[in-house]
Amino acid sequence: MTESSRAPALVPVATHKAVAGGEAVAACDAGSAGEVFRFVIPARLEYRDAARAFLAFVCAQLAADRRLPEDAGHRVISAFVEAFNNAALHAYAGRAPGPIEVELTVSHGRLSLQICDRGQSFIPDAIPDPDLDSLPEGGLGLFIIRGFMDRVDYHSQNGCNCLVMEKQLGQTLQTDPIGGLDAELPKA
Amino acid sequence: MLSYQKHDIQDITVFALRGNLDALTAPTLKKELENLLANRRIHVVFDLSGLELIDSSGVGAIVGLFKRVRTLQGDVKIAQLRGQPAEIFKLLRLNRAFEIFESIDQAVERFSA
Repeated sequence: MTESSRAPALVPVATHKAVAGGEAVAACDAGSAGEVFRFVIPARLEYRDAARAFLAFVCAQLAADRRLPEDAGHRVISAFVEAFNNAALHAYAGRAPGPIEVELTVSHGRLSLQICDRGQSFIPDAIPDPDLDSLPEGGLGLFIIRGFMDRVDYHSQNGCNCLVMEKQLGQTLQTDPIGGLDAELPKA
Repeated sequence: MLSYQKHDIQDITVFALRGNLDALTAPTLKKELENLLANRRIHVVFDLSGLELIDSSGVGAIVGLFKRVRTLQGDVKIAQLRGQPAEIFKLLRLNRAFEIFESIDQAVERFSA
């Protein structure tokens, strides 16, 4: 069995503690506290929805806890889809699909999504925003990511390219009835 | 996974999309849309009530059809936009190009207005 034909792996590496960062992921692992889930998926679009379904589940849980409005969950999922597409279609273009590492971290105040590949890197700043008035049919992926997430960072090191995207989360009503996104949500 | 149904109401074709219109499925839909143009069906309504996900490739398929039918004096209208696709349309300001309706009937009636 080749690397690319293996079934997607779901690996909850740690919960409620800092990620240690094993050897296989050390180059990509920024290390963060919170509930952490990590997937390693062959860079094929057919497998993308395995991770998306899990992300949708987490966003639904956050919505139920009133920490992430439903429409914000849609935006996070949109950004993930575009980031995965970019890695699968562009980073590994012209070569065998390698792994895509997806790390989802839910901490007290934010959701962090890290998508790493070992293909061709790119320079995000060299990609201009599209001219929406001209109704472009392509080149929208990075614009969607930037438009939907609160913070986006890209770095490439030791052959590992990582796109890190963050979304602010509100506090639960039990712990912080006034702060964060809850201030914008209707009170019961 | 994407599935679709289409039916004609006089010279208007209603396309009901269900599932994901994305980089994986957009090429298939584009072929179907090519058939529309080949048959001079240039008045199109997309019923998006069953569309769970659209990505930039999916947007490209719909926008590509829109631009081509407009050159033929046709139009594409959108009905029942909601959920994640609605967020994408909003960010990309597609509501400025497309007329968007709450129901298929409203979209179809607009063609005869």
